[in-house]
Amino acid sequence: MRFPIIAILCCVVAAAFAAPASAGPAKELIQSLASAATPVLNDKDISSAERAQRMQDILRPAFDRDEMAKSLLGRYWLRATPEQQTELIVLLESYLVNAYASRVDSIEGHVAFDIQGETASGGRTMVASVVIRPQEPPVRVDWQVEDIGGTHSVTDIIVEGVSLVVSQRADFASVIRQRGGIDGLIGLLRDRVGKP
Amino acid sequence: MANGIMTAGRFARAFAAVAMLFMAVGCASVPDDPAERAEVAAVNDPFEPANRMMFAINEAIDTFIIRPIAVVYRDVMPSFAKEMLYNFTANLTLPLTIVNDALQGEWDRAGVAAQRLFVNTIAGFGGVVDAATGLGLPHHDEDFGQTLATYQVNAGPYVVLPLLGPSSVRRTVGRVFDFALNPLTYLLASAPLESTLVPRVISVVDQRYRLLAPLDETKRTSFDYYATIRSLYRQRRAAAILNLDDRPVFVDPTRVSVGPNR
Repeated sequence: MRFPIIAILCCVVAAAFAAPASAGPAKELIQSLASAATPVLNDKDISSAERAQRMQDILRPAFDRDEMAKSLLGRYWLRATPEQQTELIVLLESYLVNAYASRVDSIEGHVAFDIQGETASGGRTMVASVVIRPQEPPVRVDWQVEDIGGTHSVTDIIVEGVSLVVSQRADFASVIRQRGGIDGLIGLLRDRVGKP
Repeated sequence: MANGIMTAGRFARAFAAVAMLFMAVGCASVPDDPAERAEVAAVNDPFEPANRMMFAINEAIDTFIIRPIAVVYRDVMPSFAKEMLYNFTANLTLPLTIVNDALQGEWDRAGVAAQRLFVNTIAGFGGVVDAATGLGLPHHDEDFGQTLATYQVNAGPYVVLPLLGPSSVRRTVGRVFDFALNPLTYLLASAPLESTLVPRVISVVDQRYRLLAPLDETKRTSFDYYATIRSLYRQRRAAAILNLDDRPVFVDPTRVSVGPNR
């Protein structure tokens, strides 16, 4: 009588340990980001500036800023000189932090993440998640994760079918085409992030 | 009778004037560089100068009339009333959604929409209460522009319509068909004007209210608001066409194969 119970217990324990292990590194990355970000987003006692700083500290290691700059510039990346590329990497990171910190800060009410399945195709993994707030319709957020030099990094965030990278790239490409090329974009980015 | 003819004549003159404006403003020139040309083709906005002009006019109307109304709506209307008004207008879109689901061969989705319409109209007091979502019948929208996309019809160039805003040639054609295909067009044909106008006004105000924060943020952070909105419009349409409400999505408008350039 005793043996089967232990066997069943063993199976349950094994299954409990096996379940998280079956999630790939992409899903694990998003899960760890969500569990780190949730208390920060829901702490209503800290100032906007402090929340922004903590969110930056959580998110920064999850992104590869070189890869980010490359994909945000699209085909114009190869037209940029090495000096322009170096400056763009720094400017674009500051720009994204400035642009999206206030969006995160304006989220009202308790926020929870429901991390769902992951699907891999062609070297990139999409991790599906739903952001849940009371009294609001759930928002689908999909995280694109890629293995860059052995580290898994977030390379795009897609909110309700709208990709951050595709949207920003459209804006930047239009500036480059119509407002003075890559130097024109660098000038606008400098003004925006407050650098000389 | 004479009055009607005069109105028709005035409409024709106004139409001719707009058409001439488009021609006068002209099309963007075609670049020589092949990579540049490929990008122009992907953006597919040959009427960009005219579109930008229409976009600016729409922006002015939005800034001075529609956005302020949406702000008042946000601040004055209690949230339960906002939810009821949203439910009511969303319920009214279902007949057209059912027709388009059927035309796309999406019978399961047509069934969900039909059950939803039934439940919310009867148990939801004419649609103001959403009882169906809790019963596993979530809301979705379809229009004939999406139906044409599933028939592999290309989106055609991007166009900015007066008041209606971002669109494509296919979506514009779809709007005409939607009017003809919508059962409500015929059910309400003899109804007083207010009965169709009031829900439409509510729907516009409600939609603008929902977009207050996202559009304000996009305007604040973008360098070229027009180009950013063009991209956002295309991505939202691409997601809607592929019914990507229930799967992880990555929608890059330059890569999706269901009809290039939604």
